[in-house]
Amino acid sequence: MNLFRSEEHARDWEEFEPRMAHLLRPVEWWADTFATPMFRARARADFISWATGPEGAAAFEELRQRMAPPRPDVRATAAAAAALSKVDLSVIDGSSAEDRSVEMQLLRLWPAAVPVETARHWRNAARGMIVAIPADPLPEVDAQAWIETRRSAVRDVQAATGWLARADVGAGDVRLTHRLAQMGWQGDVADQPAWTAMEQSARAVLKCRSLAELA
Amino acid sequence: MAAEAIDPDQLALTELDAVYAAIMSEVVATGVAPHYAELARSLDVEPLRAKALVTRIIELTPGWLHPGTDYIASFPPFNNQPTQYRVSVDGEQRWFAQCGFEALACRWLFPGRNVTVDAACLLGGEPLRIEMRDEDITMIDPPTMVGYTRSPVGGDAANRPFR
Repeated sequence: MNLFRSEEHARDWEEFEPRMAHLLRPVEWWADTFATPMFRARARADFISWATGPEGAAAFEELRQRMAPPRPDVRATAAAAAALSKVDLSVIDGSSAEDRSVEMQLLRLWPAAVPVETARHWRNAARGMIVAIPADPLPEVDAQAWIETRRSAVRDVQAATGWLARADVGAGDVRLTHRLAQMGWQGDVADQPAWTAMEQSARAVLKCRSLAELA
Repeated sequence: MAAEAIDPDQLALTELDAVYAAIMSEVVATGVAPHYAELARSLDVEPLRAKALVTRIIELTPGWLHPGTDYIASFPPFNNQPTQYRVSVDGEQRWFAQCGFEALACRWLFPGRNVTVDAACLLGGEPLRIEMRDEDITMIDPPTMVGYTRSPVGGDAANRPFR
């Protein structure tokens, strides 16, 4: 139960156990987890009575559910993509795999940092988000500025929303997503083929709720 | 004088509440968990009873005694034995957290005060810092910081989910 500087640091740790990758989470998620009633109640004068009673049992069950592993028998399939399509997400007009307007908006808006209120709104209201940012810079953008924007986007969203941000340079995208389990996603994010299938299925629907709010 | 054995199941919850609160109060105030003999004096009970109460509390919570001793080693969210998770309150470093996750729960014991966790990353040893005050996490450095456990949490050891 340790803290690491980044996801990469944790995954490179000699004792990293992929089977437990579902408990690799942003520190904000752990801060929320350790803010549940089980932990706040320790200051009570009757803590042992509380912890061994029905309220303590309910708090413990809440904790167990929060940290439960994904069910291994359900894979990312069309069902998961269908679940994603039902999520209340805004669609950017004209967005498609070829449309760079979303990325243009992102580049223009993100360096100013995401307003805290907006980020908190995402965190509280959004059930899922995928932001796809091509690794190749737009023609009119300095390559280094593009790289820094990608990094800053990952950092900002991860810090502000608690979502685990992944920078998958090899695939050409920065993908930011979490809370997928709440939407019916029961697969392993590391399961790349399934992940890609889900992303492709959902991409036309999702493009980016965050940008719709920022625009 | 021969001491009578104490059945842990017969210890009253109200008494366990009081002992738990006394231990927590002492750790919050000093950074150190008291020995049962010290508790016996402050609670005005026989040392053997204080020992039984401490043992029972440890059984009911995710803390532990140092193996082979009667010394409280861990009393979450704190640790009596130093760990890499140093906890400061309003700039004074006096406490250690049981683990990186429990470090995040220390703030509930210090309402209205600035709680800082300083640690070293297990990979590379570079510094980590988290600053908190009540509901707010005011700083995470670096902002990419993550938490991870390779041990099952909330598993079959139902009463000790965080070991």
